[in-house]
Amino acid sequence: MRGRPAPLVAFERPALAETARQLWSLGLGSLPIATLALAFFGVVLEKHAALQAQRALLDLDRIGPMFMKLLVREFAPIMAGSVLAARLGSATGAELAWMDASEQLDALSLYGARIGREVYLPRLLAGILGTLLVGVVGVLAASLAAGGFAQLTGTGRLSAFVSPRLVDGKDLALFWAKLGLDGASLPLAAFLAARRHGRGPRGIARAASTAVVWGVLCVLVWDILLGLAFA
Amino acid sequence: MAAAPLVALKGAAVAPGPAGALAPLDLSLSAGARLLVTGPSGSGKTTLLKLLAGLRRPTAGRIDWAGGRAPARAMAFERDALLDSESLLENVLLHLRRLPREAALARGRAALRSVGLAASDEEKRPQELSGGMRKRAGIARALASGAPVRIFDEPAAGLDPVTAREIGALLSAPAEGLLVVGAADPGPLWELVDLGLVLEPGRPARLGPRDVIRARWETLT
Amino acid sequence: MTDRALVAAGRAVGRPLVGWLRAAGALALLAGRSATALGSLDGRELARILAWDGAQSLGLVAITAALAGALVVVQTGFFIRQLGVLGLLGWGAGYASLREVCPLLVALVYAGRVGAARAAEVAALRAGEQLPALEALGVDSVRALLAPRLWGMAASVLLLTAFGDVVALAAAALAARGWLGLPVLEFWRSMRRSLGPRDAALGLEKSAAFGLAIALSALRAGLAAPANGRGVGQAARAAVVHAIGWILLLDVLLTGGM
Repeated sequence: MRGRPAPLVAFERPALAETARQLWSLGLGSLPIATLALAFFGVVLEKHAALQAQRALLDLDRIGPMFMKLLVREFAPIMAGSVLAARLGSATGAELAWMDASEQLDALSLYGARIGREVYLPRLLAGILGTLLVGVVGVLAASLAAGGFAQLTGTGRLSAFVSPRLVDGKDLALFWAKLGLDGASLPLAAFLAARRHGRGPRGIARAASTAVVWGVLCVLVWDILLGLAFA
Repeated sequence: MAAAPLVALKGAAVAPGPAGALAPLDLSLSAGARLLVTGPSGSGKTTLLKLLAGLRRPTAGRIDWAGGRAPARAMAFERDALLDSESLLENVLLHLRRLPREAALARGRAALRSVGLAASDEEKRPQELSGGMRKRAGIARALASGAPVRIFDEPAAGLDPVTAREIGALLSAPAEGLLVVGAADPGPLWELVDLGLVLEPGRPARLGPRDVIRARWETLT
Repeated sequence: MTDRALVAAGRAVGRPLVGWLRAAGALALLAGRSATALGSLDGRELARILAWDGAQSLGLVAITAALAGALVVVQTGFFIRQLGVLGLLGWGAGYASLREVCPLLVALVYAGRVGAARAAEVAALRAGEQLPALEALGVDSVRALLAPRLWGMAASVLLLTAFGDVVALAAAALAARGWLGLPVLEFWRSMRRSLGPRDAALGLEKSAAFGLAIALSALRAGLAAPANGRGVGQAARAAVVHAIGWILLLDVLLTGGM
């Protein structure tokens, strides 16, 4: 197939390859901190639950399965969303603002790249997929950490915390919807922030921090709206 | 009657914004023109160059190319604009996407060699290189394109005088095309051109033969 | 061969470890020097920073806290309604807001907005050689520039969290009224019955620690970034990411200690 455009240059690769690259650097790059965050959060929640159970004389083993439900419906999406708003939002906002300020976006469009398809779309897709991934891993990390902590401190059993007995289809729908919308909003917030504050080193820093703030607000708003819609 | 100009700007202007600004400007250039645009920072040099490159649209007035269609254009940017994620060679190959692989490689390598970059630098990332080397690579990228219209924004800024002179000697465009160079402090770059354009905020732009404009600009600064 | 593999493995483990230890050491040094500067702090600079940072983020914190309050009601409301214990809503929402959600979210947005901006500022000061210039003139840059920023940031996180608590509780009461039809007075009573100043104090204790973590991460990121244009963006990013790591770790430690 000589004579066809060379598959050599990065930009000739379909947007899919760039998506994979972004997913690798942002999605997987965020995984350690997000997993850690959710594991920590699981322990914190278990501690709170144990404190309250003591107070109200509840059996923590009965709370265990409820914990998984809460995690899937509420805590995992919001924690994953917030951590990614910081990690992915700041990275994408700063990167795009830098690409704009250093005229890389101009160079790309001058040489025939379609910015929307080759720069923005891969980041958007990577944001969605990365957030879903972080959410799933986060649920596992949080429930294992909470159950493990309960087992260790003798307040409950690990098996009760990792039991998906009470998780129903509606919970899962809420889980995917929240994560999907968060994942789409975070890159979009970063794009807007970068466009707004493009120039100069300070502009790049401002773009990064604006992306984080807008991202966190998006996550909160989606959480409330979807929570109301699925109530 | 002179031949129809290759490009004509009629009152073309860009309203001030994050993308720069340009006061209304009339300018027509015939094929083979070599133009240097100078003026203080903020006068709209880069905006004019990007208008010619097709990266900005005029918010008022118009820009017309002969035959109604702009020829292929290449631009070397003030901040080199090399993609951080790609090697030097891949950056230069950026606008050779339509060529078969071997031809593109040969042309890209030749362009890098012509600006004095060694084969050992090809696989390096832009951040591993000095400012002068990045600038050369940016220029190689524009030269390799083979585009008839070539635009160079501040090709010598931030370089030592020796390197600046060397880089100046590399800038060229085919006879049927257009060479446009933007520089706040042109120095040796004047030698490359035959037309000069001075942009100053709040004053009408002045276009003229190089020596006239150069003399005026140098008494001003 | 095995030797080489061993060396490689040692490097793979050792390098991040050394980097981490170094960062921790630098943080401790910065914290220590800022603490000794606490006595002779430039009051006016501190007040200026407090006012600026506070004013910068007051609106944002208000929005965030209001959303957090509503969120807590929506999240707990589902279960409360299922279990039919509406009377517990005030307790549940208040407990979650005061002890966990408010301190965490305020810290998170503050790290994003002010922490990142301060890190970028310090990096820009270094890129512009203003910090070295001060040192060359014999001015102690920690005392003059860094310590006021550090204590200003830490104090404003604390104050903003207290403000956020009030907003969040009000928003929660309104959301409970609007969404579940629970009278505001009922919500308030349920809260009063089971929560005390201790719950607010524990939340604020956390936010004091978060504030210090944000401030130290920001200054450290600003000082560690390369002194050039790119470094400024890098500093902002590192400040946010490190601050969040510390916030979460501290949250676990402090909740565990309750």
